[in-house]
Amino acid sequence: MSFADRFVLDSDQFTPSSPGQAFGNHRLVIDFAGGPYGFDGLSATQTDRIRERFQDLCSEDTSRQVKVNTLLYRTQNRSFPDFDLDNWEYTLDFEYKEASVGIAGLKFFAYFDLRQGKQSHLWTSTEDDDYFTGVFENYFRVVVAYRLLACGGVLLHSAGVIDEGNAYLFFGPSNAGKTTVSRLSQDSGHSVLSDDINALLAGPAQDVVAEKMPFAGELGQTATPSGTYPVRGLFRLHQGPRNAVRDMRPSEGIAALVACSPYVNADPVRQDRLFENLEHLSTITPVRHLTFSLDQPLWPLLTGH
Amino acid sequence: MTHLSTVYKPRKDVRYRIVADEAVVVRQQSTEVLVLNEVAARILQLLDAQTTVNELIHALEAEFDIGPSQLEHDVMAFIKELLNAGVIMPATSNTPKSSDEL
Repeated sequence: MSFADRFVLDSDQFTPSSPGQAFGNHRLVIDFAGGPYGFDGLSATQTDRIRERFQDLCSEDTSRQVKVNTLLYRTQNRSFPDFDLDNWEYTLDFEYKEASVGIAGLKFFAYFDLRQGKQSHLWTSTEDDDYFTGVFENYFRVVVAYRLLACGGVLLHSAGVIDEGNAYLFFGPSNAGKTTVSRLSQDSGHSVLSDDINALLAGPAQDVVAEKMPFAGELGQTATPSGTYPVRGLFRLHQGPRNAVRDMRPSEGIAALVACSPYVNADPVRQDRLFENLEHLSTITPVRHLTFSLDQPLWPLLTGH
Repeated sequence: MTHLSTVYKPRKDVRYRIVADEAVVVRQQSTEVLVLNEVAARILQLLDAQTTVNELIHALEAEFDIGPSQLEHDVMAFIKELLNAGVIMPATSNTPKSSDEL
């Protein structure tokens, strides 16, 4: 099975040189880490859906210079096969090239052009049903992951918690305890950036900073002041009978971070860049093991208070 | 079965980086990530689709303070682990001599 066969009936119909018809003539600019991100060719309905989802991150100044500009095109629903979604685990299909990444998912197909000033293209059949927000967000997450990589950072599957203005990121595979740590932290009065995904970037003061991502998680959808937070801790989570912090070897730390860097960690063309970024970030803020227990308070161990 | 005349190479979906003498290895098809110790990392670096296992052992003899028989034993064990982990694969269809089968 080749690229996109799972998701589209004929991928040859999607070509940037002959993209077809836009949904409308609306434009939106969304600004957060790695951006601003521009979207053209939207219908009014799509624009409303995106505004509803991304709210204050949508800029009123649509003439702003953007880092990635994506044109949306309408395609017929029959371009996509029917899916039985029961018990189906959703993963996207990718095609990695030097200058672009092809992305195929449920009811969409996209070419994300990584070259500065070039247009990216997103084809979908959805506009006003529940699929559209999902299509948009699935595409947008990938774009953000690549932009963060280009900016020297990474999109990290992690829980991000704020303590006295500093960020602590907790990461690990599914069921490692990201949401549990987020809930325990919320219960002890801490703000949660997200219990699912956060941006990790090199800061301006030779430090590492975390930034809240506007993507869905169970927690972190409520107000957390936007902006960047200096990272004081990067922890690979484990659950155990008592709380403990252990150092990791640099290689272990990078390996743990790679495993939690979605999309880009499967890209053979840009793997070296991912290694470079993570080596740089983890040299500034080393990764440590955190074993946590549900029966013991966590934060005194991390901050001493 | 690993033979002294066998030549190995990293699988196509494998990417790695040496960090403080160890190797961080990514198998991209499964996005599995492994850490190899110093000797295994060096073995991976030397498995370049041209070097036989025998040549690899001789190269390592000059680099590590390990006796020849122990080194040969360790190399064979590491190669078996790398094969089982899907990190490397045979690079040639050389028919090994039965006497060098291990």
